[in-house]
Amino acid sequence: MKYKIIHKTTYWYNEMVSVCHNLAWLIPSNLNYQFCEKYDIVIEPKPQDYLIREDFFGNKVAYFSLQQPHNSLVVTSRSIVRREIDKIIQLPIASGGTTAQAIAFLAQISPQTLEIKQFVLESHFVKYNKEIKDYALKSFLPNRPLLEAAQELTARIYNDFDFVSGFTTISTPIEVVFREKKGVCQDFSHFAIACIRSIGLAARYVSGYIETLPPPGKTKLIGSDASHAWFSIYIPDMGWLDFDPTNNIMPKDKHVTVAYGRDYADVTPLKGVIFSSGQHRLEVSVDMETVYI
Amino acid sequence: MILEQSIVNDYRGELNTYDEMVDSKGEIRSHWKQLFSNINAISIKEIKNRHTEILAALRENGVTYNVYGDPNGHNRPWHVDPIPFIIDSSDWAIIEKGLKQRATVLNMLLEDIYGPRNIIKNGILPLELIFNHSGFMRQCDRIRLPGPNQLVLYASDIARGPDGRMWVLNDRAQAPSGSGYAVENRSVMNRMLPELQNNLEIRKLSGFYQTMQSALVDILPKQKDNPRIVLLTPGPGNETYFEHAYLASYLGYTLVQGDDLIVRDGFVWLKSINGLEKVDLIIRRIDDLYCDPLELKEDSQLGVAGLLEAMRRGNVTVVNPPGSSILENSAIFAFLPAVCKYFLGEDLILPTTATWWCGQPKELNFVIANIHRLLIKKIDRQARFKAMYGRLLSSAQIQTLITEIKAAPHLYVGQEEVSFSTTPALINNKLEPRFAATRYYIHADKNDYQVMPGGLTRTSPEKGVFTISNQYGGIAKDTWIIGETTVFNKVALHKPSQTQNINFSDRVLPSRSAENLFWVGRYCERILNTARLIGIVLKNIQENQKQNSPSKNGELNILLRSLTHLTISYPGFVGDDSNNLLKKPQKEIYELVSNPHKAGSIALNLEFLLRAIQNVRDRWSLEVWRIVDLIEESSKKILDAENLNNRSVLHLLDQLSDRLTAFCGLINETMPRTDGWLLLETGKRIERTNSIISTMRSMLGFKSDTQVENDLLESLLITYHNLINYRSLYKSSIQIEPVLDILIYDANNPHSLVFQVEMIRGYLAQLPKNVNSRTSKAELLILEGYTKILLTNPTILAEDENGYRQSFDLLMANLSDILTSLSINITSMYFSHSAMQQQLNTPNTEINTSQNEV
Repeated sequence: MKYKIIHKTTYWYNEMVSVCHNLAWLIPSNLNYQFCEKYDIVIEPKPQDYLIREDFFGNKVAYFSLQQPHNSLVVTSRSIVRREIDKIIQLPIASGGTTAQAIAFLAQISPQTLEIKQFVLESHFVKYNKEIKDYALKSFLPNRPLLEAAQELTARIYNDFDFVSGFTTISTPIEVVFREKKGVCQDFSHFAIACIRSIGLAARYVSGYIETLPPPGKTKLIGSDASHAWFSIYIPDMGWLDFDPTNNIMPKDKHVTVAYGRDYADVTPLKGVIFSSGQHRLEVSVDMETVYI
Repeated sequence: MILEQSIVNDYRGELNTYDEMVDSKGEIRSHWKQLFSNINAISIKEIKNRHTEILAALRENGVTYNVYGDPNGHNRPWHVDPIPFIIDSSDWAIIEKGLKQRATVLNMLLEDIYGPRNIIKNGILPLELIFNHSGFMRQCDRIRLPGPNQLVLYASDIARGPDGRMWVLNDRAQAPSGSGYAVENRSVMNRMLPELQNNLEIRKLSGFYQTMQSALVDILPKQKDNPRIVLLTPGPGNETYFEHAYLASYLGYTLVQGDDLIVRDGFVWLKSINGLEKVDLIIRRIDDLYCDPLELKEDSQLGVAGLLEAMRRGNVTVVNPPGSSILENSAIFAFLPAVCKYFLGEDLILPTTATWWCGQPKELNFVIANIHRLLIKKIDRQARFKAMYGRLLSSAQIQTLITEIKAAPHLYVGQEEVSFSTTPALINNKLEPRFAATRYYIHADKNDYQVMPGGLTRTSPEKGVFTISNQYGGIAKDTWIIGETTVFNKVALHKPSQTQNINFSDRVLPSRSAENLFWVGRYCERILNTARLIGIVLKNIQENQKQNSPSKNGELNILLRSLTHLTISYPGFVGDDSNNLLKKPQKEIYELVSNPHKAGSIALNLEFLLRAIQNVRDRWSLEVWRIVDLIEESSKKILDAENLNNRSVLHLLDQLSDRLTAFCGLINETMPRTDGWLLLETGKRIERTNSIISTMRSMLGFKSDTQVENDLLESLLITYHNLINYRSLYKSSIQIEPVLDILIYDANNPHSLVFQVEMIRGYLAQLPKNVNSRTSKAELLILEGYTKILLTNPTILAEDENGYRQSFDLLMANLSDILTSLSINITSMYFSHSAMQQQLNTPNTEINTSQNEV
């Protein structure tokens, strides 16, 4: 499956902005089953300074700075991404190691476990408590295959939580999401990650896109696709496997990965600092179009 | 000799642990003997007197320390005990060698943590200990300073244990504070108690700064002749702001705050009144997390957006590099012996307090089992968690603490309680033993480290208390390293300083400093004018009470309205309901003096003035600072004054005015005629012009009865110091035309409008301007005002139609508008009115509009 993705963010400022500095995690990753064939980021007005580098986790991050007075900013990320689903590990649910084995594996000290273990620790948006751990323990039984447990956790979140947009903001703590059992995809992902980390396993946050289908009989609207988030769990001998608790699936050809980190704070799609005395508003649209070869 | 013996006996009686001065047999240790005989020669009584002088000198010099969360803690004067702390050369040799080794190890550790992380990969340090610490900043990964060292500045707290060995208590690695206080302690002791040093060879501190200055030049991003080095402070609210200003002046670096700097094209620039100046090196005194709001703490207003990116490109050097606070991690203590072995293959020379990191099962059990005799800390300094002594906790508190530790064991350590040695301090006319700890300062120098031969010793405020911290009221001591100096350091002291050139480099004026200086001039003049008019009003009231004539009342009412206009404290005496106020004016007048919440009041303007002075405290000489101390005192008196009456107000205002005048005079005598001075004077002149215009307009715009007008004219002459001048010039009764001539046209009168305008013209001509224009907009404005004045004359201005002096009033209105434009123009030309720094809202992108079954 191949997609052309256009992700456009527009800021309108009430007062002139003299200088801005921005960071953008908007360029899809290359993975062993995903290939970002082409990408560019178009910024209007044209930035005086622009470069792309790798962040701590290996994602591509764009830094740019506008140094002329401006009253709007449009950041358009365009990319062509190929997903080869036959390369995504697809195994029987009951295969692979158990939770207990995974914990033992992570107790080893080696350069490889070092990379993985950093995703066991709490992070800015992912804190856990006893209640969250108790919730997790119902799925992660010591001798149960980890893959099966992760699948079940995903399903439970899907069933127990309601998708309600506007109820949470990015700073709503996980406990609130857990108590109210509602939120959006980033909340569900943070919650799932908290569950997994609470029992000493590694989980990371994945930022990306999902292709949405129009309601039956309607044509798809441009810009109606969405930024999306899900989580990834480390399973020894298999590697990182993705789960989407918002849709109760393992991402295959409808998802595109942009970046991963410990949580949202590491891979915020676009953030920045501006110098201005006024307020601003913003608009975001994502368009994901299948490309037929 | 008998006296000496009794002092020692008293002192000895108080001892119960290792003492620095007296050994276990009760004898004075050999390296203290000379000092002790010097103390005796001077006598305790005289030392006590000098101590009072020392404290007064420190206060006058503005040596302060801000204490957070204490309403009286702002600008708390610095306390120094007159008895120094002594280290002899053999102890010093160990400390110096040990600190160099420790700095070397910590430097290698820092470099590894933000580089290959072999120390973790090889299992020497557990991952959790680094990756869970708030000082580990992933954004700083692989950012390197030029030169061999990442840890450039370092400080370490050391105390002696009961066994006589020196122990390291703490490491300070991001922005070590206190060395400026150490230098100031020494300097005040040298001045006030020089005899204490008789027959003693004490190592000097200045060499440390010389080597530091040249070491900093070695690590510039690019070698150049006139590098710009700035000291980045969080501002006057910070606990050690005094020191930031002090060191900046001492080292010749520019003192800046975050909003003085901006990143453009990947370089850091200083916003100055000449435009943007490239910055090469930043010594930062803000914490790691606050350095860059783009990549680190997003709502930080103290840092510079884009700073890390500029560092990544090697365009600026920041010491210490952000991320260094990873070394301020008490759990590292537990592993440091192994880390030292790993990097250097050596044992640690200076032992560290025994520490158990709870992130390991065995250590966790140990800490819980021994919690009653341990000190429990978080690994993280920033965490809002005060270290707890297990022995001081109730069993319920212990249970709570254990639960907390078990919930996140990797965030806690248990430490052995260290008992400090005691050292003599002067308490109530005698020497008493007090616990002491010393902070030592180290800087990187090529492939080595230099240790300041001295330090900041602090003693506990109360007997038998271990807590030693300025935040809890510790008392400082000068720290003497005595005995033979090593050859190496003699060389260092006399090394020709490469930094000479730097000290002579042009010190640009940051826009923010420029703005503060401008306002120092304005507030100072504003207060003086207000105080004079209030003085005249009060004297008028007093006379009124004597004679109560209707004409007097008419005059008083005009004066009172004039006061409201001058202070812009409407409605005041000009409002619709002002009749009652005019009958009983005292309350409103007193409010204008002492109510800090009333716009236009002297108390409020004093607050603004003192704040502006603080903001540029690196610009003031010691002499000026002494007067500032007096102004502060006057300000406190005015705020605290109760049951004000005319006499007490007049007295307070006279005293304040004298001090403000002395302040202006000293500035004129001592401040170099640079852009800063020009702006301060411009501010003063603009304010004086405003004041003359405002009072003249409100008193003379409408013609009054002859008697009233005469009195008003006299008041005007008094307000602007011209009564004597008038009498000597005109030798006649007071009339409007000559008064207007003196107050508007007399170019020799320092309080005339023409004089102000000519001065402002002169200053503006000298200030930097746009490259493109020969004459700035501000200069054109002042020229316009000047011309308007010259195009008319006193006779025309004195004319009235039905009592209204139209020409006069129009001229004053015009001039007033011109001054407003001028002030706005100067503000936009020289002061960075950069808009507020804000975070861009990040799109709440994660809105998946539909749940798809795929």
